[in-house]
Amino acid sequence: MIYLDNAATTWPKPRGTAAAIAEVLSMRGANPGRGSYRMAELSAETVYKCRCRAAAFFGAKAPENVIFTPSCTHSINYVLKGVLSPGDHVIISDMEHNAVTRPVTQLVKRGIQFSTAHVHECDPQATVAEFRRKMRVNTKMIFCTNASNVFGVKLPIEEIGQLAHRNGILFGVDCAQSAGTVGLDLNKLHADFLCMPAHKGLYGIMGLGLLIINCDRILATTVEGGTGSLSGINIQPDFLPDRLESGTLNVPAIAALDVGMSFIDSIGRNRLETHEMNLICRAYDAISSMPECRLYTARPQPETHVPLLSFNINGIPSDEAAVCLGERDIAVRAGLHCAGDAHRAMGTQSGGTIRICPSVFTSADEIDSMIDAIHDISAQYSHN
Amino acid sequence: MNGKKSRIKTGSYTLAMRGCELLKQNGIPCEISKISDPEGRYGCIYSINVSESNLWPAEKILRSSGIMVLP
Repeated sequence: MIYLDNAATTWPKPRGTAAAIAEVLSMRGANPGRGSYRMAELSAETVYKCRCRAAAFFGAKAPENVIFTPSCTHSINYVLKGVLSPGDHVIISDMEHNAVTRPVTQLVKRGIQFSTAHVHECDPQATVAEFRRKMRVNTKMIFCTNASNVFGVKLPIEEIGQLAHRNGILFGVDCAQSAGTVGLDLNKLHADFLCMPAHKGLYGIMGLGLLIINCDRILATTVEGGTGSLSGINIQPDFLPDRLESGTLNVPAIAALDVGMSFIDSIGRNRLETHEMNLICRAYDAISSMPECRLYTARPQPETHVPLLSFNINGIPSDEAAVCLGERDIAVRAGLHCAGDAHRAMGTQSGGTIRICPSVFTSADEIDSMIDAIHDISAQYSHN
Repeated sequence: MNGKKSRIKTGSYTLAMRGCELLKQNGIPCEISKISDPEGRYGCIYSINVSESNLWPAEKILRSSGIMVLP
């Protein structure tokens, strides 16, 4: 199979991932940070090691600023619902995933207002100006994606972060499509919160998200419960990471994430991004030369895009085209990709798009095979 | 770690681990144990155990690194 659905989850996973999970289950399977026997300590060490690696990977102040959550969506909810109070205003972009748009829409019922800033592809200054125009006296936070999960368009998050901080506004970033693929260093970003999944560009497995906190603000909790600490007190701890880590952690997924980040470091993040960007440009160039296909963005570049692409084959609904590709053992995703606003912004909401995204394991030959398949499918439809 | 041990109490395993690493980097031998607060104020907490002679410098290092030390 040619797997080009890495924007949904990367596959395959690095060598060593399955072994790390098996080791947790067989040798380190105790509940971390709860018992005082050896296996519980080993389990806790597994968690701490990954926490330290993630802190170093993203330039976090300390390991306790790395919070393990059940998913990127949970991380985003923790931030939005932990920061915003009735009467507050938040700005998002028109490239957001439903992981952002649905929580902010829900928060309207609690008296929170939101505005949506338009993203100008390849024009960072115009995008920043849109965010500036949306600011109000009660704007508490800007929360936006680092890059569209549908079109790969990057937002100028460094500049947006500067704008936010100059105006005393908190800044949160959904890094679902960038973490691992793009260098993210909190020492350079003006971000207070980074949210990300483990199972995409970080090459971990499903069931784990990260929230990296880069400010002193104590978030209100959306989930409370056992943390293995201060258990004689019925109030949720106010220190990190315990405040936001109620319930037993997903240690097998944490062990897998540690392997994933180590794998990325062994390759080098620049090399990885260059490889994927070369592949997506190869696909872009081929598709743009096919009159039967339609692209929606400029040719991807590292400054303005992450390596993923949306397109359509004229006259074929995206979901049908994806089925045809699937029949040829090519895995892509079609439809709205849980991002209705992004499709509305690009005018593709009626039928959606076909999305492709390579990983470090994708080859140029596989991209060429996909192009051949598009030619084949297009010819087949034109004869019918 | 020989001699009489002193306990430095902290809230979470993560803080205890980071604290222990810091102390070792500063040449202070230590180990972590999970304990129940004998006075019943906190319930489950973590103790960084150091020798009595290292208690004061160890606490100073931990506090200056932002690691919560419980009374």
